[in-house]
Amino acid sequence: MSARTQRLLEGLFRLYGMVTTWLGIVVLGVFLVDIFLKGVQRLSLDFLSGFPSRFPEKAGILPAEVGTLWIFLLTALFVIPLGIAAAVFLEEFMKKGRLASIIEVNIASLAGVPSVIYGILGLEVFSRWFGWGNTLMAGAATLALLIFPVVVLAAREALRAVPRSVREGAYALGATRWQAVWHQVLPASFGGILTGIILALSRAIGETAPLIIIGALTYISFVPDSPWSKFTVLPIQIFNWTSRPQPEFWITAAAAIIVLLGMTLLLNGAAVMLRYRWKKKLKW
Amino acid sequence: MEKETEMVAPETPPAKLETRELHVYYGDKHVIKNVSLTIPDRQVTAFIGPSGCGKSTILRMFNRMNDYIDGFRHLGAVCLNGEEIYRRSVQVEMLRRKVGMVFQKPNPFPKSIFDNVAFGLRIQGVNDRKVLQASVEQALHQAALWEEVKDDLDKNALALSGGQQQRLCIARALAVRPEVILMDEPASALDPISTSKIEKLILALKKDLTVVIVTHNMQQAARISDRTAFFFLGELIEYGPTADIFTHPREKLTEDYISGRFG
Amino acid sequence: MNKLISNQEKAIQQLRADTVDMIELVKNQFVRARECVVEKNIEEIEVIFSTEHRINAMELMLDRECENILALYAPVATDLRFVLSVLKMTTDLERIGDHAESIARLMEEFHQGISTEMLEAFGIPEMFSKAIHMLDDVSQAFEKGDTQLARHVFPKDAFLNAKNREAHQVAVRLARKHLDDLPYIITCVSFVRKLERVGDQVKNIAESIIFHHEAEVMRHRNKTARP
Repeated sequence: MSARTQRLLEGLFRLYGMVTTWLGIVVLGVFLVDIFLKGVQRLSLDFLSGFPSRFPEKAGILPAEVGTLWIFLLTALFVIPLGIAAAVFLEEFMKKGRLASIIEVNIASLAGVPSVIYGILGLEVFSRWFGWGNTLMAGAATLALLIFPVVVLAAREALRAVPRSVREGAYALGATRWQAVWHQVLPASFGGILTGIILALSRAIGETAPLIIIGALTYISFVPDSPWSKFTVLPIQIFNWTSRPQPEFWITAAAAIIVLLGMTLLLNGAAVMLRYRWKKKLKW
Repeated sequence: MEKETEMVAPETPPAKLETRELHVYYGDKHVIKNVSLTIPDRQVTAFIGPSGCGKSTILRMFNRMNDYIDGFRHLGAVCLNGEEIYRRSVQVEMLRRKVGMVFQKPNPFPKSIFDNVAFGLRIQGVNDRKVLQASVEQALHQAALWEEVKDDLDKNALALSGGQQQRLCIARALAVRPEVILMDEPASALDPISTSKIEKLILALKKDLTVVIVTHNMQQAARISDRTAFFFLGELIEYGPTADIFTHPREKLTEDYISGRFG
Repeated sequence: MNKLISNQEKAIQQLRADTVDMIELVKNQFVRARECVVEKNIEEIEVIFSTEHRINAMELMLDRECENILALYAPVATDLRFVLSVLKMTTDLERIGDHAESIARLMEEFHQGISTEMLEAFGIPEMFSKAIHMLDDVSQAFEKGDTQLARHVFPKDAFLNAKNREAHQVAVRLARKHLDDLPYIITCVSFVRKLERVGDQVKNIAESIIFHHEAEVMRHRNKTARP
């Protein structure tokens, strides 16, 4: 192949790459602009602090907002200690062998299981056996289970990113395995772990199916005030409004989507900033 | 005062570290074959030999760092101060307080300079700020790094240059007051000036502790060590005073290696 | 914090100190030899014999030190020239010591018949002085690294060479006057020859010192010409 042909092919590839990249961005941009234009008119303080109603102009998303926040906090409470502990145990304390490989493969598979399945699991275990019914606890526990494999995977990656030399250095000074992990490996990988957790949680607050299955409400006129309270979340509220026949409700739904997107972008932005700050500090 | 000619044999100093008929296996691979040697106290002993000859493996026997390798097992004795260190009753963390190590690539923790040097003491439970401060300062002096960092001990260790990082690792190892310090090619990743600084500080260190250094640079071994051991394919070929090894080695293999006739 | 010093620097300093010791030792041998010959102090003979062993041992020791430095440190530039110059010097010093010893041996046998007049006819007392001055010159020149001082030996060596050339005639003249003195006259001629050789060897030492400091090879050049 001559140099001219090479350069031609390279040029074509560049073009193709640019088109596909920009295509994705453009599509996303179009969607965002569309939603924004549709929903911005409904955004107001009343909207953000009001309750749902039969009248689309009067509908507010306060219960859904609070519900989403509750879910965020409770899921975090469940998954953070469990996820980090599991990752640390698997990565630092378990002997690498066939058992370890099997567990690793299974966790990776679990991360790919459809969220609906987790919903059914949650319904059976948390709602029925534990008797938590359709409360925030059941919802958070179910979602925690859902994102648990993702957190473990991300945390393991972060732990692996800490070079072996740091551990060796700690051992050579007389540190036990626990001391090396607690004092050196975890602090060094903390940024990566946190990023992984935030990303997993931002996915969790966007989940609809599992929560519907465990019985989250679609219409709620109160603000949940305890973990044992019934609840709804923004995705469900949005789903509810978009399935109404009146187009005015779709505008309301668009406004709610803007709020949800805002939350998601905030969380992801925090994750990216954290990752950047941590990388600067570490400079492997 | 009359100057003694050197017909008198030098006294043998006490043995600090010792191996007796040591064999090491990684799984089925027989990597160290029947090595017996003694390392004298307060001297610099160098291990030289081509890549893969086992010198690093033997070095790591002295602080049990090979324990972390899959399939590691050994036969024979390895002793510190005359006592076997692979006995079940030996707490490996205590051993490593007495036998410190510096690695080939500088590996400071991603923390401040102070926290790096203080780490070894903190994990022993030392928390008194004054004690830590004094120990850190002394260790940094010993590692010839104090003057360069004394104004900013809170600076992140990773911001230091390569040579400074390696001296920091040395200070970190010295802070726990070990009896022995093992160095695995400590200067091979550094520029000549940093290397020279480290060689000089090794010479100053041997007043207080035993130094064992693995190096692929035999000129370095010639410059700084009192005794040199030459390894090849897992066997100890020759071991003796450095001046003897480099002026009249007994084994042809040794002579070929130091004359650069290998490979 | 003490200044950290390398093994190489330590070894070079040690070599320098030991070489100074050897030069002093050899110089003192000649001071004794002069005591012995000119002042007729024959107790010195035994001291010269016993010191000779030390000088031989020192030559071996210095050679070993040089070998070690070359093998261990592969010195370059000034350090290399220094070691090479010391290697040459030890040979010359050992030979100078040998001459002192053989002078002592001859004195042991023939000291009775050697008169002051005979010695002065050959210029031997002056030759001794010059030789000892030359050794002093190189001792200081070596220690201080003073090549100008080293060059002072060249004219003194010229003097020793001149006396050596005259010795033949002096011997014949003295022999004609007192044939019985022949053994002693011959002994004196030996002294002159040896002192002349010593002059040559000290000159070699001076050249080595200049080589070390100026990287200039002095051999086979006109020594009286100043650079």
